[in-house]
Amino acid sequence: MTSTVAKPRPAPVQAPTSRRRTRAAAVWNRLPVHAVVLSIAAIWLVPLVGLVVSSFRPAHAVLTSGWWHSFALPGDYTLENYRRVLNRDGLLLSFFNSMAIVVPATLLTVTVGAAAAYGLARMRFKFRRGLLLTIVALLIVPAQISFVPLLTVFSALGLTGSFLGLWLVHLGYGVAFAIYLLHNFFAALPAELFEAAEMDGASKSQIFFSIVLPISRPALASLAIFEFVWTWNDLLIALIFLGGSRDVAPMTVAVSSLVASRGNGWEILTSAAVLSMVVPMVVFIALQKYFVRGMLAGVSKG
Amino acid sequence: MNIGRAGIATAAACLLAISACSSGTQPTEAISAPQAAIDAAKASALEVAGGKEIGGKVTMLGVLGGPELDAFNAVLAPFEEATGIDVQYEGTRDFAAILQTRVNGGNPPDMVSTPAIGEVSALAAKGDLENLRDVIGDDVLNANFSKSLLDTGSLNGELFGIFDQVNLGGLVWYDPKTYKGPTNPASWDELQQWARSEESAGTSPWCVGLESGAASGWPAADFIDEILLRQAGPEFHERWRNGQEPWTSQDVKTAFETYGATVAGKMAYGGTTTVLSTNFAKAANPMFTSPPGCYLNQQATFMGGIIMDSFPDLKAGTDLDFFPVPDFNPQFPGIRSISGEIIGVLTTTPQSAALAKYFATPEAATLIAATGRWLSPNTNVKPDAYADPFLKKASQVLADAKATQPLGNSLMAQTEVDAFWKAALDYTKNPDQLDAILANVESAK
Amino acid sequence: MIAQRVQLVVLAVAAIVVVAYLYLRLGDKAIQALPQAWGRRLTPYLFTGPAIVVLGMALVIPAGMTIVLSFFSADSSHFVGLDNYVATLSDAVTRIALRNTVLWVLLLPTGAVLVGLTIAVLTDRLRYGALIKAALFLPIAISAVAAGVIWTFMYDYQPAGAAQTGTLNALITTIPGVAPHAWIVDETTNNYALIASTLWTQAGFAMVIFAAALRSIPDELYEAARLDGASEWNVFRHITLPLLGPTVLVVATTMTIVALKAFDMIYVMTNGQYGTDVLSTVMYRFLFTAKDNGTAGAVATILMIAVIPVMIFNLRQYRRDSVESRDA
Repeated sequence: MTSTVAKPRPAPVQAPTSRRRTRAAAVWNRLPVHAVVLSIAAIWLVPLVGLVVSSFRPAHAVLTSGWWHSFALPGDYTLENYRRVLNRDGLLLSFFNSMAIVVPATLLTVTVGAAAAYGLARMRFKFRRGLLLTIVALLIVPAQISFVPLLTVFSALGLTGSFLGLWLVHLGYGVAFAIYLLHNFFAALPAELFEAAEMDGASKSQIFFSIVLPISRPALASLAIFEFVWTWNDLLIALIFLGGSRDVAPMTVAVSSLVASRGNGWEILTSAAVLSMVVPMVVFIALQKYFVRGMLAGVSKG
Repeated sequence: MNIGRAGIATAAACLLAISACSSGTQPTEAISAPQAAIDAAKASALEVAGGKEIGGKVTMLGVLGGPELDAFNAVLAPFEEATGIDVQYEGTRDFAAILQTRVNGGNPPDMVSTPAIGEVSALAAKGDLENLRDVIGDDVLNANFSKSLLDTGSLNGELFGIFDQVNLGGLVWYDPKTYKGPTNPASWDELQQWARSEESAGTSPWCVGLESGAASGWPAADFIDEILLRQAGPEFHERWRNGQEPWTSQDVKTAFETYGATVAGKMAYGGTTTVLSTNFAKAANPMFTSPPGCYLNQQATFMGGIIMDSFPDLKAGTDLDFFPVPDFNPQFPGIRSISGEIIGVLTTTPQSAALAKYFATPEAATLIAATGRWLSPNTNVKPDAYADPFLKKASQVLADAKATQPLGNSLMAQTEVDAFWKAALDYTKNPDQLDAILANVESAK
Repeated sequence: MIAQRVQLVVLAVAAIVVVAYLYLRLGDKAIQALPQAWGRRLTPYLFTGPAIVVLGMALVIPAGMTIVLSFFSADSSHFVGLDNYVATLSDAVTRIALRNTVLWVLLLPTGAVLVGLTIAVLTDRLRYGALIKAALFLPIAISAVAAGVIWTFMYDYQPAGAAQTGTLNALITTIPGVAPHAWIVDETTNNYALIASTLWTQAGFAMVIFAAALRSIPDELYEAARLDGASEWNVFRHITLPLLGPTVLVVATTMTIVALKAFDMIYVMTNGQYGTDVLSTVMYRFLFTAKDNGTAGAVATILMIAVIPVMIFNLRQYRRDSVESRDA
């Protein structure tokens, strides 16, 4: 997006020595950079390495020794943990249930959020500032307090146990953050973008679909990955609003049933956790090209 | 992005390989019940459903997961096959929150299965639970369950829950190869005498682990509960668990202190910090190191299975065994404590009634016994129904008991139970603050 | 059944796209048909309407109900005024929770901004930067329960002299003379241990947002400064940092909200035991264990009041934004 190269400027008179000094200094400076970056990355990776290694160790080994011991013994590894998870009755169905819950919920949240963010960012109306602040305030509302009121309404409407109900619940809990994030982006889009279209007589909805959405692909993709991950990892909302039917249980519910009632058996969670990381990582990689480019482009122009 | 695509492809290939190597979906743990028992269960399931396959479904909220859930599902399988009813069991460790929300929000499960009897009795007090005497029938109930078990699941004469699985508490697990102390002590004092001599010789006799996530402290609470029952007597224990005796009374204090003697100083492996940090399932691990770090682990029947899971090479009887905790008070000999799960019905449908009746039959109880995980509360289950050697021995202990009482803390309201667990942890950490700690629990009542 | 699910996803996605498009386009056309003044007034509500309805039902009404219930007794049967607030604020447990929540609010956003910004800036021009970013992102993909299990492994404690099973204790005991530490049980370290675990799951979020924002700073600014001989640090201080101001606000706000609402990690690892309670765990216990709607409502209201300073910061930013976009 920003790749223009500056015009070459005439070099200062003392060019040779100072340029050599600057280049040497630049190399020197790189070492601490590498050190800092690699040490932070190492700290972040260690728990994950422990998780992955543990997931390949037999259950009794996990309970009695640290994961690094498995390197010493000649391969005390097994696929048993993964077998137990993958063979779990209904795991494949629960994977598709998760997709059936998460994909529409994410799309719905991004859509409703984008429309609202656009209205709040680029249209002047009386309650704009108030609405915006209310939305910031709503970020704090703990989800637990709304379980019973929402569930009562859903039961009355017969939405419990249905996917539609779950989409609406996730929409309700996710749209505040969606609006907050997208509003910053939309508000910073340059006015020139809109002036031309408005002069041509384009309506707001035409501008929304033909200008705002295409140019915001990075922001939308970034929001989508966050909403996807949060919805993918949700357990409590599924347990409460899906009403216990095995047919519609998502992967998180299926995986939690692998752990025994007193919490023992959690070593099986290692392989389940590794497996459930796969899908969000795939989505992250797929959206990479949008992800790290220009999500908040123009915010910095503030 | 080539790295990314390659990564995805590799991950997908690995998953496919693993699934291909495994042989498709099958029950991960089949119970070892004889076919005759399974057939008998199917027959009685059909009978309680009124003689025909009525189909439909029933939802049940519980706490089981992992291999326990597999075992429970195996008990349900004959019922499902015979009646065509689909039993949708949902297990969660957040049982109280989920149940309360769904009941208040108008989406309750049809049935519940839980060890939190106090929690369910609170619902019964509000009238949310059906009277099982109406659903199952007095004659069937009296023929299969002891009066004290039925009373435990009753409130104001209405039966809100029947036990389907029971654990015997107050057992001391040990490794016969390394433990040199008394295996049939006449009294608690005799056992503790040996323990104290070990401590002065430099080894810690007791293996204790209290950590358990959100429920940390329950192992100590269960033990204190047991001590109180057998030290102060069943009548005091009953008054205490009903809230009629305060936590600050001398008997309760003595029970705490008796427990405290097992973790004070060097009595417990690794000292207080280890006791508080170790997960209960790993507490017995030091028994099997060489040299052993400790010798005795006080825990209920399910600990046997947990230890065997951690050390698959152990042989029951030779490498691991238990003896019941000896008497604390010669005035109250031979009393045993039990804990377990109860089944309750929130919504009576033909399906939920059939399932409730099924659990009251001796055939279903025999299957529960055959899982090798639990004792059955059904008086008609014969001891030879237990293939698991530990359970067989435990059922003998129960049969020989002079009196059996449920643990108090499973009957209390959850706030009080939480306070009890926390008090056990606090007392372990700060034994000199017992009075303040007990006053705290009393105010949480 | 799997086929049904796939069908459902396809249908749902198609339906959402079609309905959204039709709703906005047809709604817009309908408003255009009205006199001009109406159009200006109604169009914003066309766009924000669905969100307002959804938020109203899912969050505003329940929040309002909660605040109202906080003035009633535990079973909501009679009015008790401020009793619940007084009782809970004078309770030692709630005081500890308040103190801890403040600790979380101070440390988590700071940590997330520092780590996220550092990695985003330093990896911006590194060849292997994408790999580093992926390493920080991975923890976001993990569920709270799994993260709690991972860090329980990490903090595991065995007595001194025994083989350590926890990674952290295994590392520190390689230094001679250092004894293993019970990170979770010891009240001087457990809060920081929990905050560190949560930071591990959140820093990637901050990093992603900062990395994106960095990409939008025009290269010319950097080129010019570097050719003038400015040091990297000065470039960062005088160009990058000021331009990232609004981004820092977004990240800091989100992380502050996360810190205020921190629940899952604490619940899984300690359930508030050993002095690690925060407002969310206290509220959870009052609501689901004690079934006390009044006090739970009071704690929730206190939590919601705590967001007011955050709102004020954002308000100032919005004022700045609207001033500038008017000039743009």
